[in-house]
Amino acid sequence: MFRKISTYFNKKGLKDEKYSYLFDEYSGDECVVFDCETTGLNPKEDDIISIGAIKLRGDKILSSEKFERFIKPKKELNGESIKIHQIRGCDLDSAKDIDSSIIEFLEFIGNLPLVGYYLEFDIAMINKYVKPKLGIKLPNRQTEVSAIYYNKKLGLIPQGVIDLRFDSIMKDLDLPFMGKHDAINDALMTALIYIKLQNIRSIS
Amino acid sequence: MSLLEQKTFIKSIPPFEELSDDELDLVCNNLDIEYFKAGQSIIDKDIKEHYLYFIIKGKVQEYAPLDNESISILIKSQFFDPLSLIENRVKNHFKTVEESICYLLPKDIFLRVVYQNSKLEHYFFQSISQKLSQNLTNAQNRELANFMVARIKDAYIQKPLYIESTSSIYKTVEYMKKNSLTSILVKRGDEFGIATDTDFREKVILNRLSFDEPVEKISTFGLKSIKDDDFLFNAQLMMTRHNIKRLLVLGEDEQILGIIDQISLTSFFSSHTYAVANEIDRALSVEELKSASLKFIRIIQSLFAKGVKVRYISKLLSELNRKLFDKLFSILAPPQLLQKAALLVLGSEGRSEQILRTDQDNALIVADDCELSDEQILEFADVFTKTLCDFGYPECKGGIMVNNPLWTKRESAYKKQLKEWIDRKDKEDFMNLAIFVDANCVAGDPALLKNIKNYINSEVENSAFFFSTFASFALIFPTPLGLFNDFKVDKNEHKNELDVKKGGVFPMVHGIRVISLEKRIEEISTVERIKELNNIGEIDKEFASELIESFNFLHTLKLKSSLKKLDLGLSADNYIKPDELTTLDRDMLKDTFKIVNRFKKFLTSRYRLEYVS
Repeated sequence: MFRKISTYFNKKGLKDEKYSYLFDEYSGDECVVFDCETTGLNPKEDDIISIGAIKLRGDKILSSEKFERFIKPKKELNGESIKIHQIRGCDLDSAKDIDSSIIEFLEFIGNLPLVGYYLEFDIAMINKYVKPKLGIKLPNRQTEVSAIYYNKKLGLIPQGVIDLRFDSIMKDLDLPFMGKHDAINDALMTALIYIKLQNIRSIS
Repeated sequence: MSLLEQKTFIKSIPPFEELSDDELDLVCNNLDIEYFKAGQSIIDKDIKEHYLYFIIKGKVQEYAPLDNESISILIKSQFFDPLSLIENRVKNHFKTVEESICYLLPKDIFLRVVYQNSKLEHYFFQSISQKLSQNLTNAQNRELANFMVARIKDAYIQKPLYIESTSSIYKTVEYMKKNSLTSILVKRGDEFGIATDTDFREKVILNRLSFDEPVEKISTFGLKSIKDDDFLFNAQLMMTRHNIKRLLVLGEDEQILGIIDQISLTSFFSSHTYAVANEIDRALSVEELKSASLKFIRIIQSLFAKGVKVRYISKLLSELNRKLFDKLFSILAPPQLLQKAALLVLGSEGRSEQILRTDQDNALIVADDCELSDEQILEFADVFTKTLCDFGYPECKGGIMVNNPLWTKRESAYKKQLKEWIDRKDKEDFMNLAIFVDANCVAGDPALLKNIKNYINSEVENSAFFFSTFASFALIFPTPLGLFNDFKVDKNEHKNELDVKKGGVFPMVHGIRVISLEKRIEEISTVERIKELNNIGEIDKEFASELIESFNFLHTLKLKSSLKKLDLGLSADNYIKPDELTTLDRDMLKDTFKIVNRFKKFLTSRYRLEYVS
């Protein structure tokens, strides 16, 4: 109910009718897993450096149709974030500007549900660019994998503290590490987490 | 950037390390990933999308769809099933053993890369012959390699009968009928084309073409050709690549020798087996039989190298052995004996479970009313045993051969003997009894054996004491598996080796034999006995299939190790070295021994063996 109302007001803000497809109700077994690399952890101040997104159909990860963009930052990369994702300024020479990348991203995701790890942050980062441009926030249905993990784990340790770190979840679910942390690999591994969680009742 | 991991992964798997950078990009850009639950089917007859699967994580089982028999277990970094994609048909099925994650490469991309890259093509089309040529230095395998690297001229080539392209369709069919051909060469100037049965059916009849039209109209020109000294597998390669069924065979001077077709290609290897069987059938003298018998070992090796399952190899070998014994019996036996005796094979030979040529284990039941004297019978038996030794069947160390009076007896004497064995119940007697229970009649009058088996059944019927003593022998050798899931290996003569026969094969064979005797199961081979015991509800389905799988696994392991020992010039025995097994085989061997232990427990509770010392 709440979602319906907020969707309604959100849609009212839409500046360009071309993007009304984002609001179409989706029914099917596809979704999009995505992840952003950023210059920092504050959506208000920091920028997106890269976006990686992968479609899922049932238990299949369509990595052959992935979406990957490196984006020219508006401000200099700081030393801290370079240490984390190892994207240096010079790596972004072939990068595109953020506005066209966001449009391409919207075309890629369409009205598919979105899945991610700490998705709220990535959505906020995307919305930072979408809102001024289209007048809306991403209306797509959103699924947080760490929340599913939490719920399935909770059955086992009702009062326990659950370790929700990405690598801990990967390890606990016995999933193969698919390469270093960058946007597309993290999306890929998040996809694995999501599919595995869909296939198990609880985590032993 | 992100593709780097996929690239490293794919490039680490032979033969994909041969991919060029462009090809590798093509492959990696088209990879999808799929998650499979444990026990989920990946390739079966209902499959709609065709991929080459690379295992990122997990275990996948390849199995035969007919009997669900496991063929192999695939693990991380292995891929399947290239042959089904190349041959465009699903043969074996695949399912996960545990939760698995795979890369999926679409079929068309895979085929494109295979045809583009000559090294990959070579790998996928010629992997068998290549593997064999690597073994060429090895004397034992040389024969086998000869077998596999056969030339075109070794196979059946259809005669090069041809007809002028201006001849009428009617005349052509008439000519084909006269020479019983299914296809015919059509000569147009210097060029040759071909017209086949299919052409007549589809191009003439279905198009209502007049029979008076020249045959040229329905012929296909531009026939591909191959030299007669080329390898057979190259002919196969050409046919697959161009999707054609026939090739023109040319001689040294480009003259046409005939046509080779797909059927004569595929039947070539199997026909060797038939050739030997035929040779036995047609043999009129002991010498001719001997030459046929010497070819057996080659057949076993080549079938094993071709990936034929050990169970079928044993079956085939027993079949050939039996034909040979039967023939030898009919050549050597005095006429009075032919209908008045039954020649038996015993033990593993009787159960069709021997894989390499093992000792002679045979016996003779002579009817009470046979007119020959005991001396005459033994005289024949002696010649029979000696001839088999000459053929290369080693003498049985335990003397279980027809030249031993203990195993060549008149029917009534046998009954007396068997009763003693049943009543005395000491170890040796029981071993003899066990060997006899597995007897199979290969020549002479089978009724003689049937009578005696009925006699055994009536003697042991309802004797719980007999069965529990008999069954207790299944427990005499400990299973070579330690408390901590480690192997217990020999410390003396066979250092670091373990005896798979005592440790695994014997307890299963014997236990199953005892239950089968109790339930009067007529099947003799262990696997068939297990299936029958499952049918009558004595063993549940899951346990039955576990037992069969374990049994087959032990047999395969034994054959592998025996062939290896023969290669090294050692004698084949029942010992294997766990350290030399692959991790997977080691794990499976452990699982197998666990099943053996479970089976022993099953016997213990069924026959109350805890009370039998």
